[in-house]
Amino acid sequence: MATMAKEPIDKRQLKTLLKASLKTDMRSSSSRFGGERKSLLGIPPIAFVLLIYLGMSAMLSGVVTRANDVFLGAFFVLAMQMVFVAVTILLEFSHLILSPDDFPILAPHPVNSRTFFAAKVLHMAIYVTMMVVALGLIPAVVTAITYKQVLLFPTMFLASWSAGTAAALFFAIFYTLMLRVGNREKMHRYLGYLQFLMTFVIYGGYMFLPDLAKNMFALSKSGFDFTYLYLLPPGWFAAWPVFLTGGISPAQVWAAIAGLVSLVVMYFLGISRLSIDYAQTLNETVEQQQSKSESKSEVRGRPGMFNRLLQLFSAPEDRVIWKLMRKQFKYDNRYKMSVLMIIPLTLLYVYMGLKDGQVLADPFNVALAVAKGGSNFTVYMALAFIPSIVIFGSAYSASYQAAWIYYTTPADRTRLVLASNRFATIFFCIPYLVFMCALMTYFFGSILHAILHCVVLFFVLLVLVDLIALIAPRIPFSLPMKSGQRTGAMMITMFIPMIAVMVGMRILARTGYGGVIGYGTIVFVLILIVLLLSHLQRRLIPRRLAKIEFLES
Amino acid sequence: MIKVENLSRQYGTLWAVKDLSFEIADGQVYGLLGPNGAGKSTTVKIMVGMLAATTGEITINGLNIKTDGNAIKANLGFVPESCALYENLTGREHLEMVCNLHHLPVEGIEPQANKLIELLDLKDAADKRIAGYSKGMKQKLLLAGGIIHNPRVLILDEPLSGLDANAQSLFRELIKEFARDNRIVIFCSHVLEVVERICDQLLIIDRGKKLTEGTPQQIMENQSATTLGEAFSRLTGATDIDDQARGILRAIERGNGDNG
Repeated sequence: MATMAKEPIDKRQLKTLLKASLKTDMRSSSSRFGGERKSLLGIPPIAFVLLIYLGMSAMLSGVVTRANDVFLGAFFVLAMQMVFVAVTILLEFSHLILSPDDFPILAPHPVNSRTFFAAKVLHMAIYVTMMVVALGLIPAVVTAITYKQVLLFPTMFLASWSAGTAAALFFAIFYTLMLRVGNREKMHRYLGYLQFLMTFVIYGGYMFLPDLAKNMFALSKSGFDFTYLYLLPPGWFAAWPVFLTGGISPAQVWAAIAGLVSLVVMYFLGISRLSIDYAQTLNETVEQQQSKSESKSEVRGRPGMFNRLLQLFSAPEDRVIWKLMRKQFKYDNRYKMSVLMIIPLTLLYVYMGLKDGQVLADPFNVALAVAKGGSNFTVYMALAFIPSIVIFGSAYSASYQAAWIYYTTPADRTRLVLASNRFATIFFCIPYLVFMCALMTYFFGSILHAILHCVVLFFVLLVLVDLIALIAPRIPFSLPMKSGQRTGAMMITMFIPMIAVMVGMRILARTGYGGVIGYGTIVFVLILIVLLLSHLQRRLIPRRLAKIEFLES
Repeated sequence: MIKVENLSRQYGTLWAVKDLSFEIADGQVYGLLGPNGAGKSTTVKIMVGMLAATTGEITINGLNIKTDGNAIKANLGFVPESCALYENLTGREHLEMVCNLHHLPVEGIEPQANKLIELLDLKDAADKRIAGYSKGMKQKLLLAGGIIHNPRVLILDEPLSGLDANAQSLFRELIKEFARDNRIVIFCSHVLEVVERICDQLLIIDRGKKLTEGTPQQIMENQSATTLGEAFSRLTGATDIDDQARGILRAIERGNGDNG
């Protein structure tokens, strides 16, 4: 495979490569003989991501109408779009970017570097366009209507597309550079940390953006100078629609030129970084790094606290699943980060629940709580999504084919399912309840009230965990992960229990426990529900699992 | 004894296995042969419980796979064709996992795993992540996992691929030892020389249906063939391999005429 930068793009090869990439995306994880295997609710993962983005774009349109300034509105919309496109490409669709695995597949064939680059860029452009349509179409229409200028629609949309493409190319180039410089495993770890940070940005964005936008728009009305925003990449592209509304300043002209230049620079940087020659270099680097890292031995010594805890559990299925979950957590970055995501989410929801001087309502002191406006159910939301995220995250794995072992041994598959639920409860939910108990003690001023309330929350948690197992029993690490599935599935598994918790906690904040009898009744009813669900689990889960077959590649 | 009666498995409109029946006596090494896509792996996967049969019955030592699946699996060892393992575990942890899934007594797990690790030359790699294992090492680990619970029935799907010559000899001898101990071994392979040497009885299938059954000698005699490979080619319709090879060469020469 020689360097063939001067050779023209081979249109037939380009079409073939692009077609193969798109077919691979669509057919990933389809069964051997059967047809497509759909994701949650039968909706393909990419469609799910786009649907979520469409909802977000409606929210962004609100920013446009409230901005009272074309540039300011466009800046916010494009900033959010660039973040979402870059993060989605990087975390969910990283296969669109150059991979060290590309080289062994293509090396024996006479594909030149330019053709390879064109296929990669077009493949990415298709996804970027889909995301930009979902994120930018409604704000572009709203901008045109708000400022009563038809041409603002195509200009705003073009700015959206260019901003999205520049962001995607920038992160693609950055990713390939990092792969070359650092270790692939480390790179995946860093990407995981980035995902961790982005969770703050994405979910925090929902919470902080409206406040931030409100403050900035207020400043804008007071004549505050926002020229510095032109220094930021979203400002370069947000300057484009301003040309249609008049009153152009030199800063806007320079910013608009900077947008165009950035696209050209990204394109030329991309040619060298998304080439097949670069893929070869990456492959060689990664192979050297892998052979080093995989030859390390695990330290064997006296059993640690985790192993001692494991020995307390008599069921071998628990021992198997817990150990596997622990190892996957240690080495599988995708799994680790999908689980760790609960930390920023929890903190953000607690912050939301307690900001602006709100307090946690003591359900034993209803009058005082209601008087202080204590209906901050947001704090309790984490209770719903922690088990969902951990249990759901544990079902999907790149090593799903290793699940043959569960089908060929006399393992109790119901116990395997419940083992992952117990893991989520013990290692994630109970620590959260302890944290909640400390928080409640501070707000309630009574440790007894906090503990009693946490007992109720513990039973609510058990009900949720049991319901998840009953509705969607999944053997851990036995299902293939499709791109975009995480985002879609997480939204579903989070929002349904969240609504239930929200309603329950709202009622509780208004009615309280109503004394010892009321408290006792609630605990008694919850225990009955837990027992009933356990009984149903023993009857229904084996029936459902009996119908599940090993998933072939 | 294993009895398979009218076994069928359908995928959409395609029958991967159709009306397959055979019996395997204790102490036999039973070879399951067929061209690619013949239905061997599907048959094996139904026998070990990874897939369900569309119709038909499988009984192993009087127990039915549908109703007594776990009782059968307790005495069944399986070495799959693909090296699918949880690669973040170490070799030793994989063996411990298998033992736990077979509900073996906790105190016996470590010594049993150590013994097999030593005998299969995996000592240096036992505490390293499986991700770093070679194909041969993974195959050895899968074999160790397939026999660690002392099964009466051992099912091996292409067990020799990726193994060096010494390891292949070890596998062959182990299979013979299993049969001498009156256990059943089901052996799927494309390496016909090995099949001819170690199998007592053979079943050849194609497109999910039985073509023939018998000892290697009987099959060769019935097909008037001098080797099992020849008999296999005749049974599966690949009668003139030389002609086929020449035809392929002519086709690629014609198709690339402008290059040549």
